[in-house]
Amino acid sequence: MSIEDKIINFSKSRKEPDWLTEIRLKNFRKYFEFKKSSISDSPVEKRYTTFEIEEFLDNIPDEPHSGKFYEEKEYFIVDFTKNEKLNIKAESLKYTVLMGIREALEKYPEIVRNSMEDPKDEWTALGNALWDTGIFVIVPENRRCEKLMKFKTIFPGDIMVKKDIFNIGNNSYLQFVEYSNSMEKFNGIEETTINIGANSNLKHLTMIDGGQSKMVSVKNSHLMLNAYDEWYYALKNVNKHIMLSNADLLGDYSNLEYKGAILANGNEHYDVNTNIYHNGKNSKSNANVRATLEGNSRVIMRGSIKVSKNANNSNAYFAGNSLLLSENAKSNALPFLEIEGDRSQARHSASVTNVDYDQLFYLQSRGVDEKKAKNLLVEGFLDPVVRQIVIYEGTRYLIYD
Amino acid sequence: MDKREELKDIIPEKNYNGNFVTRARYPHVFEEGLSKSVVEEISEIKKEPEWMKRFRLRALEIFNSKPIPKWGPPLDLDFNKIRYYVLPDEVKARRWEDLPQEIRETYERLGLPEMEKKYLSGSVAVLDSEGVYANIKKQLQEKGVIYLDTDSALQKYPDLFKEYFMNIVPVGDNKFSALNGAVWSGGSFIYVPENVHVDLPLMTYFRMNLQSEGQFEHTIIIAEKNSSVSYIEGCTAPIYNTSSLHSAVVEVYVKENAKVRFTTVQNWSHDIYNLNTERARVEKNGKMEWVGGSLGSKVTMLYPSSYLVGEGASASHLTIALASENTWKDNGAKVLHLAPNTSSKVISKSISMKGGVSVYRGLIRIPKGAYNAKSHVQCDALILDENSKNFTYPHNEVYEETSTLTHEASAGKIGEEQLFYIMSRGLTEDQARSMIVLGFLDDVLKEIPLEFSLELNRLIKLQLERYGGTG
Amino acid sequence: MSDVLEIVDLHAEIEGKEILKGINLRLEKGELHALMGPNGSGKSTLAHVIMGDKRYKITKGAIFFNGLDITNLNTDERSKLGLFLTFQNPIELSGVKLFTFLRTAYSVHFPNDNKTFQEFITFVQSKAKLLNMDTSLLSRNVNEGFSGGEKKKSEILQMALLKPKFAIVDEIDSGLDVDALEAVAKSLKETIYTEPKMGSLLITHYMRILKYLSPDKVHVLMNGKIVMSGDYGLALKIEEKGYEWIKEKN
Repeated sequence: MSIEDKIINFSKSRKEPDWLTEIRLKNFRKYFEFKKSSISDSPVEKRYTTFEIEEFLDNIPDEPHSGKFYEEKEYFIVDFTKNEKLNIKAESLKYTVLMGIREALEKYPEIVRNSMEDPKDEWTALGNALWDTGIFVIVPENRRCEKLMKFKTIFPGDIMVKKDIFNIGNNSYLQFVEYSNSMEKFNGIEETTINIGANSNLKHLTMIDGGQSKMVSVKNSHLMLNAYDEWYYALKNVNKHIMLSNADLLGDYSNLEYKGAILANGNEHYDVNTNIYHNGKNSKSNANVRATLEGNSRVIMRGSIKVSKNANNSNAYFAGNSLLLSENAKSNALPFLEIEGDRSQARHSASVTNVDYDQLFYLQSRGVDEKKAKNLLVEGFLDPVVRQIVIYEGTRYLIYD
Repeated sequence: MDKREELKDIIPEKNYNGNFVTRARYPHVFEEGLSKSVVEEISEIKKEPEWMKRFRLRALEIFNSKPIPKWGPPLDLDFNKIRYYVLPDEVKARRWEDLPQEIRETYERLGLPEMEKKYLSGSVAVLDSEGVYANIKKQLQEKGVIYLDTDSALQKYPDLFKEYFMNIVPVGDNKFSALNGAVWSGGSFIYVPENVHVDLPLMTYFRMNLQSEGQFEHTIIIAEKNSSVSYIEGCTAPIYNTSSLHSAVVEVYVKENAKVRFTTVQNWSHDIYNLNTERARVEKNGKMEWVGGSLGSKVTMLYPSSYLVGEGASASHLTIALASENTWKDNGAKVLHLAPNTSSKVISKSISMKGGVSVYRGLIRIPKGAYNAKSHVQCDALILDENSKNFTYPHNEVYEETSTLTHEASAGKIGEEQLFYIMSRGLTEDQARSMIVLGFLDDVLKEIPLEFSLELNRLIKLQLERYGGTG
Repeated sequence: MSDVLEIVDLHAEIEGKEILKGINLRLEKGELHALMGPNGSGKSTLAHVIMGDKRYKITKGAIFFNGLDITNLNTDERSKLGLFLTFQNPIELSGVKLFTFLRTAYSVHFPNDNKTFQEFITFVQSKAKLLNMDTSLLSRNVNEGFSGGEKKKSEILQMALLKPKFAIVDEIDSGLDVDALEAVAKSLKETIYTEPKMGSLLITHYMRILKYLSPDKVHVLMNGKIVMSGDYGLALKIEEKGYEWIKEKN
């Protein structure tokens, strides 16, 4: 049976509408197109995949991926290790809509469909072709979010493809924090589509503790007029992680601020890719990803800023910085720019450095032992990107030892 | 005071505008197309040793087996619409007077004989497929410096040639190096013995004269221990409507403590695909400097590479690329830090105008064991109008904890307030614009030998003037 | 005929916002006028509009130079006629050496002057020394890394070289300490009073520079209009009472 046939069977077994089956196939074909080369490729670049498509399709469970949803203290917990039908009822929410994505398929098919129309990369396309579960949030127009939403997601010990959608109406505000923990054998894709309406504001924090699993995390943001997307993330403990964030600044005066921290250790391998597309006039972006590398870890830091001809007067900046802490760590930095037209400014910078001996020596001369001194320097290095996470979490998440 | 400002007054204008045709004799002009017999015939005309003929045929097989690169600029190139060998005249002159009149006039128009007299230690002229002129100052010759067209070097110094030919650039490196291996002809061969310093630059002038022509020169530079040499190449061609192909291989060997500077001023006409492989191997404490001014051509793919194999070796890559109408400039640099304490610096300045596309595509690799290696990359782009584009694709790979790599890039436009400021002092918008552009390029221009940086200044101004007063 | 710069009912806006709301001003050769006014009153806009900054749109009115309507002339053409603006924040030109910049501008203004390279160096250096300016600045990039005082002196040096008929001097006193201010004021005075005398419009927020220069006339600009004109006494009154009393009067 061909892969396409398997996808059709998968879709049928979920009793999905025909349009969804169609759009899954369309995305799957796009996945192969994206895998072909483009002008930005160079012979030195290697692509790799951690996700086994056939394995996933051959082991599809009869029921959509189960999971348990419950509220505990201030947390919404989505536990995919529990074998219950995902039935989301958030008692504490008044205006904000929170449901499972399969439920949204019946109630808000247009939003789900739109989120699948135009994938910008191979992983989004693959996620669209294969998703089986996920959560769905709508913040209506003119609402400041009533509370800080906190999600805890626990990934299962097998293959899963998840699609989340956050749809924020005009003139609204949402703030949420998500913690993801996963079981060791987890091997999956999680794709999140975020639509931020005109004059709306989203602030969110993502913390992934990967339990040495393999995962692909994709975030697709769409920013409308004067929308603001503020995002802070920290990654650790993922064995192989492809972390892809695509931000489409569609609206004039839209603005994004991304700060990411990667704490790589052991044999971990992170491929972090930040793509920022400037389409709106006077749009602004500022992104900084910082990685500390220990053990045999490896970080590939990609950043790509694309400024279209229409994005008059926009301003973009991407910086990727790596700090090598062990002799076997490896870091690649690939900060790309693609600029059309003469109306905008874009800059990027990248650095790969090590702990400065003079700084270490200075601290030690003040009586701080080497390990503590190193930690202090690492904290200093990460400070620009983790400040917000520290505000929410203290340093609990960021254990440097 | 800036020396360049002073020299502007004294140095006469030379001519890099090569848009005129030389009516040479042309005893051999091949039909378009590439085949085994074409390769064999080239080798026979050149009366080459048997090993070279076999080498060429093997290279042809490799060329045929490799696909056109899928990445990079669009290569809309038909290999069967190219003439692979064009012999302008059977002449190898050592004095300009000995050249046939038409050919001599060509170089006089380009200003080469005068330049040689004033600023150079020697020069070589390659017209179409063959070197027609080569000369070097007598005292350098006496010290053992060799400066010849590459074909003559194969005949006169076969052992030396064999040792270095397609060594740092293996024939199978890429499709175009294989093509060069099969049909190479012309180029410069430079050998500088130990402890010899060639004070004034050597210059080779490459010129393509016919349409649908291919030029496949192969240049080899060997700088022995403690020696130094500066080499300049200039490139021009008349404008035709069909595509021509220039695909060179350059191999530079920088031995211990030696220093080589390789400067290219390329002003090919806008119908030429310029697809080159240039590479240097730098040994202990050696210094390699690549300086490039890339003004013309239709598509250029050029990523000079430095393999820093000896401790303390260093490389600097300075490039100016100007992409104008229907031009795609894919320029870059590749540095492999293969030894401790090696250092590299890359500065790339690109200008896109009138719908041109400029690309920086680079690689810096610091593998394990390259203790304390240092690298700095800076690529800046200036986009002059809304139809032009710049892409920047750097690849930085670091596997050594004690090394440091920094990278900065920017892409932007000319500031309105800068234009206004300059115009308030009486300069027209065009003058103001070209002043800002030259200022933007200054980091690289100031590194180019004076006479040539002035020449480059003029060429860039000329391009910008053609641009007209809109913005 | 004496040189005259005349501004008639000038209105100008930027991004749809009207900044100048009907300016009338007449400046003759050899006169020194001071234009004072609170922050945001439109002083610098006026300076830029007189010089032809295209970011501002003139919606009404005109500028005449010796009777010639220059309202639509390009900036460089105005400069060649003999208008000069010293910038409040001189612009940095990376990679462009100050010497090259001066020589290029000079050759545009005096195409028939055949100074050789060496002669021009001597010429510029002597002017720079008159202004007490460090001649090493000549081989640096225009305004890049210059101190506040160095930037202002470089503006005056440019003015001294190009010998304009009218100079608009925009807040040359901003960002300078007392000593630097005195030095700049002295250089400025020398430059504008050297024969042939220039007509100058001195834009300032504060009184302090006027003490060195004693203007013939003082204008007060508020909210895009000249609301009061007078002699030096007006400036003294502003120093004493601020701008509030004028507001109250209007």
